[in-house]
Amino acid sequence: MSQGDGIPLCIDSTIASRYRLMQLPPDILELLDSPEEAAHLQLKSATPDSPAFLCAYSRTFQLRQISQSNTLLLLSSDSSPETTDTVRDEEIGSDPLYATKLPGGYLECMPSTPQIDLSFVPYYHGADLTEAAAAGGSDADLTLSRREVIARVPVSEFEFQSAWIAAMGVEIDGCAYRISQDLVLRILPVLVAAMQADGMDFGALWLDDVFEAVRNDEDEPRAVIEAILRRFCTSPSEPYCLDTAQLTRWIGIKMLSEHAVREVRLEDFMEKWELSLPPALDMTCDLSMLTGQYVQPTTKTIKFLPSARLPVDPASRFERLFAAKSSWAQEDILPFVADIESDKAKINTLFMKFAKKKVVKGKTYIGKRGGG
Amino acid sequence: MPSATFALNTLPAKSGSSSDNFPQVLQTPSGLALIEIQGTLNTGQSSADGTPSEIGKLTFDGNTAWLWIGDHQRMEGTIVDLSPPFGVLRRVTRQESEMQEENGSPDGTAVEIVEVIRKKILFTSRPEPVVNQKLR
Repeated sequence: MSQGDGIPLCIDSTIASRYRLMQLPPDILELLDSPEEAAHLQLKSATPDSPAFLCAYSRTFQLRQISQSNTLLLLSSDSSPETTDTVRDEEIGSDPLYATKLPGGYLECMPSTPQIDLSFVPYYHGADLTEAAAAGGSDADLTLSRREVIARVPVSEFEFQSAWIAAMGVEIDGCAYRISQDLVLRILPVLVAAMQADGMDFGALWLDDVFEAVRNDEDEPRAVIEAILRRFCTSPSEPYCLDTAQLTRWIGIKMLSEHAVREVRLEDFMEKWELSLPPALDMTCDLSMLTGQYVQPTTKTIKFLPSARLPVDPASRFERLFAAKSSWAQEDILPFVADIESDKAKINTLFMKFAKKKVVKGKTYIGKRGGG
Repeated sequence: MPSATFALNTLPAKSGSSSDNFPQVLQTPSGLALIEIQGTLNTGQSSADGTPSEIGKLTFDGNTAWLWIGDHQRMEGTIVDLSPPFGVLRRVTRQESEMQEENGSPDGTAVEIVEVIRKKILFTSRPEPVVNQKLR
């Protein structure tokens, strides 16, 4: 073998600035082959300094820069346009290949389930109040449209839509809002009463019918009624099926959130919860619906403690949990660690590391380390 | 917020993009391929005007490749599968995306995968001395 018939390899540093390499794991290749996913592909990041995400229709991948010590050369049969002619003239024999060093390594794609933060979207407090606020011009974010909100959130369209429904997001006159909890609490009984008065089937609701039934009692636009209806329904599209358990839970959490600082008597809370439910629906309040949202400092009192707002770091989380209550029954504390660890054996390791296990009369308690 | 559209390039392949001596398995529609060298490649001072400078010649025999550097040294490499494959990304400028009538992001940035590379030439061994045929 001699180099006589070899292909000349030239270094052309101008190619590097034009290209980057990205690993394409099977998940990503699958996305590129699926027309529905590929049509939505976007690279997004929340701020110029935060990580970049590759968002398809239903999935999100985080991009990471991987450095490697090996030299990576990207070969191109074309040189940069300015220099092609000069070199080609000198060459005789095989067309040369132009190589460039890729100093930055390559990009890696990791499947990601990002936390969706919609806290920058202003609240909608009702037709009258929002008009007053807009006239005052106090909030600059009022001008964001739903499309602009999506661009700010580095997740896929589908994941965004789920979070948007959960947050009761709504677009009114081109501006994106989240419906305020107080407004929802005011509209819900009116909505349910109107639906019942018209003899509607809660298992098969049509938006037109619901809006027609409620418009005599409410001035809110159709989009607000739709956002509330979609939030408390099991089906993503019409006909909507009202999820009474979900509705009861949401009202329970809302009622409980008023007791984040000071505990309240369990009996009083349950009574308040039951009274705030729309009377037209036959719903029963059960404390198990609020799992992971409350702590019972004593058997007769209750306090708001949402697991989603606790620190992600296990040490700080256990510190907060034991500050709220020094000794927990194991089944009561499990919902508060479920989001940081799902594996049973690993949860046990966390208990061993940050807490103390004690068995009293066959029941397991998790207590503070070094405490009683 | 920073965002860019992302798409797989579906432009037709260029004709005659690669040399006839270049193995078929390495050839891609747009003529891009990948070489990995275990080590550092010192190419010396790059010419001031950015003109490409030749570093050596590539020859192939089946799955084996040689990179000949000057008259006295060569490196042996192999053609291996990339698992997972690599996508070559390219940023499309505003004018280009307008020319292609694409709906870019609000600020007009678009990134495309110009090529999916599934094989690379991997050089893992040290350069070995060779005796120039002409001097024998």
